[in-house]
Amino acid sequence: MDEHLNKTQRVIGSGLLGTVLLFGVGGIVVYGLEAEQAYQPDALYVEECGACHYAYPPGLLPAASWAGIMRGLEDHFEDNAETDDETAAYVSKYLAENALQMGRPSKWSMLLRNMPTEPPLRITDLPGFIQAHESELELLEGVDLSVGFFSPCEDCHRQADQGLFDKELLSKGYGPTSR
Amino acid sequence: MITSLLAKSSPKRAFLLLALLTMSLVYATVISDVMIEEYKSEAARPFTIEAGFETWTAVQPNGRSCNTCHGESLHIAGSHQKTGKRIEAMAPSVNPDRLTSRKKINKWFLRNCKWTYGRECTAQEKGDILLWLSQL
Repeated sequence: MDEHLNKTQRVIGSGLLGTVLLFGVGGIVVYGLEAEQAYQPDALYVEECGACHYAYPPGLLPAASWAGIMRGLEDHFEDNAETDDETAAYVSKYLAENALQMGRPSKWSMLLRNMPTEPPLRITDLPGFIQAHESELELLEGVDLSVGFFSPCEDCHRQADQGLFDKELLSKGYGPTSR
Repeated sequence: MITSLLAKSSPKRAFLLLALLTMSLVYATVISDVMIEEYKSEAARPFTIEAGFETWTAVQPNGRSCNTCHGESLHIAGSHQKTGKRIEAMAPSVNPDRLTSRKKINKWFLRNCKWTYGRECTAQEKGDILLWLSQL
């Protein structure tokens, strides 16, 4: 009798332990897989481009746009963003390899919508971007928006540095409050 | 050598040595000193703090000066004229990272001189500016 109970207990115990291990290890693996997909910008890219503005994730613009930007660093939207050839080559490669592209898995594939053959240089000029911010543009209609109002993504998307632009994470209140 | 000095030294001498070490740690921006030395050969006159200040603050015909982004006081952070991005204080006394990398000094001289003056800075200007900044 005692032995039988012990056997049952052993079965239940093993079952519980097994379940805990299964969920625990499974959870860690899933977490690890998801963490790997999180936006981890290249350190040199952030240093070179993030000194003057938010280091836009490469996946927000098509490769053709990035190439255009890298060709014109001497007049980078009326600023000078020149860098040495070695650094420029490194950054160009990083941008091209991680750019927004048809067929490449992306959280931001909506930005590809109605993409013209010659894509614009500014993220804020992408038809997909404008479409995604339609309600904000409507709300702000009549407000004198200075050029570049939408440039600092992190003003509203407070987790932009982690590549998170989800609507659910938007902070209440819009505009340049972090300056 | 330092240990032998310390071992032999009187408390007074040890104190002096310690003070010197601390000072060199706080103020040594060795790279900028080396660069100032290098610019000397291409400069017409000796570098001065006053000339550095003048060059830094002189408003150009385009309305720009170094202050446009770095702000009036280099002991506090400035902000990028267009994006508003924070620019950490330039004064090495509050921001010890400043003037410690030749690559960074060269990069920002190139970018910022072209934006502000519409041309690259001369060795004279760079030397004056580095001398002025290094003592802030």
